[in-house]
Amino acid sequence: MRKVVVPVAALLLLSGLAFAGVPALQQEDAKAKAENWIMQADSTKALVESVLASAIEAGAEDHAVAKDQLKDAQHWMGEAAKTLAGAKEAHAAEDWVKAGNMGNMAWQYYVKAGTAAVLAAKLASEGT
Amino acid sequence: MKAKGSIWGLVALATIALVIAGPQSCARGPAGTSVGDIAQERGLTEADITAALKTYQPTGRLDDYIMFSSGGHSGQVLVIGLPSMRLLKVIAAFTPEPWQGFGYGADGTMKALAGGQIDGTDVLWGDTHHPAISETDGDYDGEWLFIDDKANARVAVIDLRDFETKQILSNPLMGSDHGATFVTPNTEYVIESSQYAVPLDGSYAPISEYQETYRGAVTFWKFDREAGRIDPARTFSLELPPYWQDLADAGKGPSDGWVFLGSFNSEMATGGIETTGLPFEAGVSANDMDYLHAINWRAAEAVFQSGNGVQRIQGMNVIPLDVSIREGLLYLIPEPKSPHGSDVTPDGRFIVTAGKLDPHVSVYSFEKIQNAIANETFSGRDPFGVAILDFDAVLERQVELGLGPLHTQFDGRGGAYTSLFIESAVARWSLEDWTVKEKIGVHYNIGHLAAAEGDTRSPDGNYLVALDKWSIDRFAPVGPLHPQNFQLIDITGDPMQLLYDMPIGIGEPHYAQIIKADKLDPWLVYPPNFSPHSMTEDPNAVASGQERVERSGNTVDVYMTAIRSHFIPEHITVRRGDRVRIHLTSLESSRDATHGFAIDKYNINVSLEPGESELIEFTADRAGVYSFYCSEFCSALHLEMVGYLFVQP
Repeated sequence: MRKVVVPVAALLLLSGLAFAGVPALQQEDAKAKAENWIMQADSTKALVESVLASAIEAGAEDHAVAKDQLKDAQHWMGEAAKTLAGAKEAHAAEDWVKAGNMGNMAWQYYVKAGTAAVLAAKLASEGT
Repeated sequence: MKAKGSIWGLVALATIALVIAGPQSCARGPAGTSVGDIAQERGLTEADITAALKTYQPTGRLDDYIMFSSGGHSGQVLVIGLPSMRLLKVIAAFTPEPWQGFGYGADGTMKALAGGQIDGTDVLWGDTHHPAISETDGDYDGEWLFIDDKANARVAVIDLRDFETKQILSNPLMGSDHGATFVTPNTEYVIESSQYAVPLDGSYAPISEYQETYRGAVTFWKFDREAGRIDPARTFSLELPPYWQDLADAGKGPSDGWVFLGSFNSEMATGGIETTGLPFEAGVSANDMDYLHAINWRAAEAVFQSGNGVQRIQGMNVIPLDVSIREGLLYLIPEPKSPHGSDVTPDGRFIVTAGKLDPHVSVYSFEKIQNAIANETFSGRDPFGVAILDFDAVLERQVELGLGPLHTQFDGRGGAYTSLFIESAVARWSLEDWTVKEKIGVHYNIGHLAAAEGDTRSPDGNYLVALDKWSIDRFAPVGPLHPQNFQLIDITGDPMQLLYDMPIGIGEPHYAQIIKADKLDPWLVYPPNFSPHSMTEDPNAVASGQERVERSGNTVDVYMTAIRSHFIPEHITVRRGDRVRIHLTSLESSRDATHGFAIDKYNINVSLEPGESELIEFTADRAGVYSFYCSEFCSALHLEMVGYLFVQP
């Protein structure tokens, strides 16, 4: 049950970058929109991975309660990865609408993964 | 006689012993213990002990604050004392509640529930969300309480003289609501806005006609203080675009006369993951910006009263969208992605919104909003022609708080407190230099928060309650359905201190409001012969000695009294098929001398508080012998407080 500050740092990363990083105000172009979503999902993925690493470093894998949240986060990471891969495939096939929809959904999955990862880190670092 | 004498002798001895030993026994704790020993044995820290000292109320000491919380799916309202976090009452609102005799035969309660019927059908649950205490000049006055039912777009009126629901109304325009209930600064109106858009006329329309046919709405329910009821005839609504309107707050001080209403789904996404592959959750959060609605309700009231362009839809007075645009009643303001909270600062100068998927709160200046309207500083119009104010022209500041900001409350010292859902924390930040001062972790996934009088013109700035959606590991497991967690936080110091966890095992509360207890003036008993439903003397109340049974055709009127420990009459004989009307009056006048009145197997239970007079009406449709009894332990001979209903075949 180590007390670590890493989760807080990761939180700041998430808050500073993941949700505010892409300046696209209601873009009309489907291709640009798709690329925007894929880029946003990719950047969020990296940040959630850092939060997950923080949670593990804080002892989440061995924590009676945090490990459940960690598992939940990892589940959403898997869903997100599959969906993001689909988005990239659609993008390669120039199906911009599908690519945009899947990229959007992948990002949603990463937000869920991030939420669970933050909880895992919090639980593990508080040491209950 | 001998036995009776022995009992009174024992009582006398016990009383003398109490008088002699009482003060001394209060002065010392159990033998062999000290605060330090107990703390060590229980593994308590100094902070834990401080928290306990700040919340513990010795027997008989009353709480300083009363919190009214939505009861979520229970359809009820929770009344909780602060700082003790003791549950004082559960007020039945949309759901029948047997202890209070709400919906189990008492005529007034049956009528109140019937007010919430939808198309003539009883809907006997509610998803209560946002309680609103009545206000005078922007401060809680403690006279009335309003609560909404999100699931069925209904509002209820609760009288804080007796903490009972008096009226339920169903909004015919809406399928569901969310921006409800909120009141204007003098409780002229109770605000209710829709959540998920539907055709306002209640008709069917395919989802492919969403943009053309589906609409949102905001209703200004006129509250008549004198009558203690909402007056539907003086109520009006505004048609709104089919964005999903969310939380609302009324302006105050300089912004009095306006209402600010968040929304999401400016995309007008229509879901259908099974065919489109894009679920609502992604579709409605595709845009970086949604719209805060700024509504000039005083101007809307004038339009309604003039009748100019007002339509009647399903019996509701509705100002159509084109009239609102023409008359300058409605403006849109861009607000970041998937907003939730919309909160006006105590001085009425700013509106704080938070986007769930944006780490900032956005603070808008009311003065800048007015200037933008006057100068037509618009960034465009939405597909319905509503003017969109230029974001930069009306924004005062954005403050980066953290992950998942939702709702904001205030402390009256220039401090603001915002719940951070994803981060499971409360951020304290300054309205003066726009910086974050501190965060405190909560457990877990906080939704709303409530500070003492924290959404009024004069917040008290001492207590804050975090309404956490998940409790995970905070309480002893009680199966897969976990209780919610209310966490009491002391915000007087720096840092803030978490004081107490209170499990809520009755539903998922949403919002709460906390009022200073001395602003409430609840009755302790009813005046004699009193109807709680009309809140006047009941002309059918029964005086002692006037008890009787009268038959008129197939109707049997029973004039009955109750007092410890008997009903009069105790034998009631009717014929199967008779309509039975029991006029039941409590002759009690002592505080807490409540009786119940339950009839076996007839689904009847009434709570009869001291002085109360009730009508219980039912058809005796089954022959047989049924006991009726007092269902509240009223006295030593409570079990003997009984009678028989004989239903002849």
